[in-house]
Amino acid sequence: MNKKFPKDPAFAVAPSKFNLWLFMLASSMLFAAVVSAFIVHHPDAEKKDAWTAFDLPIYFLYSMFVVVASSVTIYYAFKMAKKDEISANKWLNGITLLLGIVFCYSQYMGWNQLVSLGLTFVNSRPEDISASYVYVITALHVAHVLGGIVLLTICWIQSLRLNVHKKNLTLMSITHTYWHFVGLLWILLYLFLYFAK
Amino acid sequence: MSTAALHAEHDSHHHDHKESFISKYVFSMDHKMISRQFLITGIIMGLVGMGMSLLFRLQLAWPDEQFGILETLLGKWGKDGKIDPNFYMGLVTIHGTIMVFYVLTAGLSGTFSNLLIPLQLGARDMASPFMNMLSYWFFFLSSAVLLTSIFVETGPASAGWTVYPPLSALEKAVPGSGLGMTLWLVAIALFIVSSLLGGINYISTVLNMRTKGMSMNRMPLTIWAFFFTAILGVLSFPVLLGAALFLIFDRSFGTSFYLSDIYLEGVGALENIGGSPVLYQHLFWFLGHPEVYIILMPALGITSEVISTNARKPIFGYTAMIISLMGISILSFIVWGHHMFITGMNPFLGSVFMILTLIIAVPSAVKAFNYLATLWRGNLRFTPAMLFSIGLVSFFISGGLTGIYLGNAAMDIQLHDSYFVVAHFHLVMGSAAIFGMFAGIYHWFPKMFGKMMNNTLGYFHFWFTFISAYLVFFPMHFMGLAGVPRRYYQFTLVKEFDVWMDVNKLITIAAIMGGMAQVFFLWNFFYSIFKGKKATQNPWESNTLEWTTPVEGIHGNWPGEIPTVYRGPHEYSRPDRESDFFPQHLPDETAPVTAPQEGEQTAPTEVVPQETVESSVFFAAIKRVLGLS
Repeated sequence: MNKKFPKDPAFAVAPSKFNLWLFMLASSMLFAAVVSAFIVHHPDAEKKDAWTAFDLPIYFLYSMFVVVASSVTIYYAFKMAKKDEISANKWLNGITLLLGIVFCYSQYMGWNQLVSLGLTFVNSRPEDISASYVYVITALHVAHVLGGIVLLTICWIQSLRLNVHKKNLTLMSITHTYWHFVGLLWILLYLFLYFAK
Repeated sequence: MSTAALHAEHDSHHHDHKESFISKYVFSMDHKMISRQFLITGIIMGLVGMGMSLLFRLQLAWPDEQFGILETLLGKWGKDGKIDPNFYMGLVTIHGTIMVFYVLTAGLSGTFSNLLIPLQLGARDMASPFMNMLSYWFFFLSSAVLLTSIFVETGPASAGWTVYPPLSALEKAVPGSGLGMTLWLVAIALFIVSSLLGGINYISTVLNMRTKGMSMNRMPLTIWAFFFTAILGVLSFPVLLGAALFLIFDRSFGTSFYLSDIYLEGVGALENIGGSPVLYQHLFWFLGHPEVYIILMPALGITSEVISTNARKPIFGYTAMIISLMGISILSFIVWGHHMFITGMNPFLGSVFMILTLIIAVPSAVKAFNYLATLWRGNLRFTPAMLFSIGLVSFFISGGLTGIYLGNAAMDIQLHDSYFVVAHFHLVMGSAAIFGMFAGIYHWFPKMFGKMMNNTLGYFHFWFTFISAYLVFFPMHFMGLAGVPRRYYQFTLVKEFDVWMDVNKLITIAAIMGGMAQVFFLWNFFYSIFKGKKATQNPWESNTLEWTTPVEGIHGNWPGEIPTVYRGPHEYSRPDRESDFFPQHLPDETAPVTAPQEGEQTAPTEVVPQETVESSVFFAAIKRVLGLS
């Protein structure tokens, strides 16, 4: 069919952006489910021996600082893109991507720290189920971060090709929103795990 | 480059490509083709599910008989012409899984959301055609995995469609908890991905891509139903994913999410401690209850449209219908505990769940009464679609009433896991939803395939199915009240249940009759696709936008501009109009001119279609629905 359609009503929001919001809603429900399972499973005072209590690895806290820093850089990256400051945007995208990778590494170090305490995912002692929850929650989160890193990489490459600017913001805006989402998610999850131990 | 130019470029880029066989029929991104793919896959899955139900009904009616054919058909599962007890459990499980997820979720919602959302709202396609295509193929993959699981050595998953641990978590518990269960979990994980991809698309399309003038309060009730269904799916399926993940970890990695130190014969006590199988039930039913409405609501939406069109009357209480859908959707998230009254739940919590459950009767009753009021003194046209819709209303009432019994914690303790439950949900969500699906197929067949289905075969299909559905499920109420438990392999071994053998035979004979009745449908469906009478553009004289598109169904839906919408979808038999319908896209040039009030300007007022693209259409619509503006 070679015919061009007459102009259709424009979308208020880019469909991909809107779909992203809905995706974030859905994955929030996944985390809500896992966190509620943690709360339900958490035993009451007399059954304490069925649940190993331990301090969260310090690396998880470092991750939180990293994620806050990366949120700041992507915020400015988006701002620069809106102002057509292309080279600043390029650098800030690159730094955010780097921070994202540092975040994953830091989480990995956190898991190593847990393993060195003898708290593995496949429980050597059945009461270590508390550690399994920490692994599940952090791993699901890292899976989301990896998605974000893919987005950041695409966005960074596009910015190197000068494709991110005032008139081509959809990709940047999606990456920006999603990265804030995973960042906020980690802050909430960390605080939850910290206070729920 | 301006946005308009971008759009134009996008359009020309998008519509210039030539369609190969693969891009047209296999990896199609056209919503109409995807809806046909969903429908046909759904029908095939439905046949498998129905075939399984006939097999286990055979066992229940004649447990001591030997059917040589079963051995030929099932091999080692049908040794000496008798179904193996483990395979019986597998049949029950896979029948439930297929019907609930593959037929009535994907087959129903996937088909009609895909077909009708763009067509009835005036959109060229879905918000993301690519995600839509992925959604179908994940569904296809998931169906393939589930069907494969039937053929593995140890048999398919056999812990019931709810796959409660510890039965499903321990390979030693039943043979079906081995590889079959793993494949079940893989299939469901793929299904969840498919359902999320689809649901996100449906919501996004409904909110963003309506044509000019199609404000939310002018949307057909089908779309409202699909919209709420998609929201339920997006919010509840991730929770099932969480539940399935934990189950996978317990099964394959030795964690203790659901497992505790239970004793197994020949193995001793398990090493796990502290895990709670009730946790699984909480997570499962947090999806499971909304899932019931994910199944039912699209059928209700289709019924609203079909009944209004074929009664030649506006639907009674359009706004009330939307509010009750909304009420059902919200309530569906806070009633999951009524599936768990006998898990040792705190009685106070039980009574909270009970009250919330009983409140669902209110919006449901509003819907039932509105259907009846729409039928009341209408110019009824008994097309097959109309008959199936009326059948739905019948099942919705008779099955819904028993929900009030089951929702009462005190009664549920007696009735739980009995045939009363089987009767209840097969009527209210099984038969009702499948009748909604049939109504949709008969009604929109001309839109899907450009052909008409044969009415006479449709009538035969309806009456045989309707009568046999009642014959199958109605007697089950009495069995349940007498305490006959569900999922049992053979009742002749228990004296108290042996007296029900005659009833079991009646049910099986009726089920076979119901199964045979589907031959009318299958013949009619597949024959009409190729050799059916060519459809006219608007065969049912309906108001909605899908009937303004060309019969052959082109890419992009409308050859020219998308029509503008001027009024609601159900304006039938308006006294000021000659014909008894008034399509949404016709401007109001014939509207009666009322005498101008004193002081009012006499200049003809122009009818300004409502702008769709305002900043907060959604909230504006909610306000309008609630009467705040």
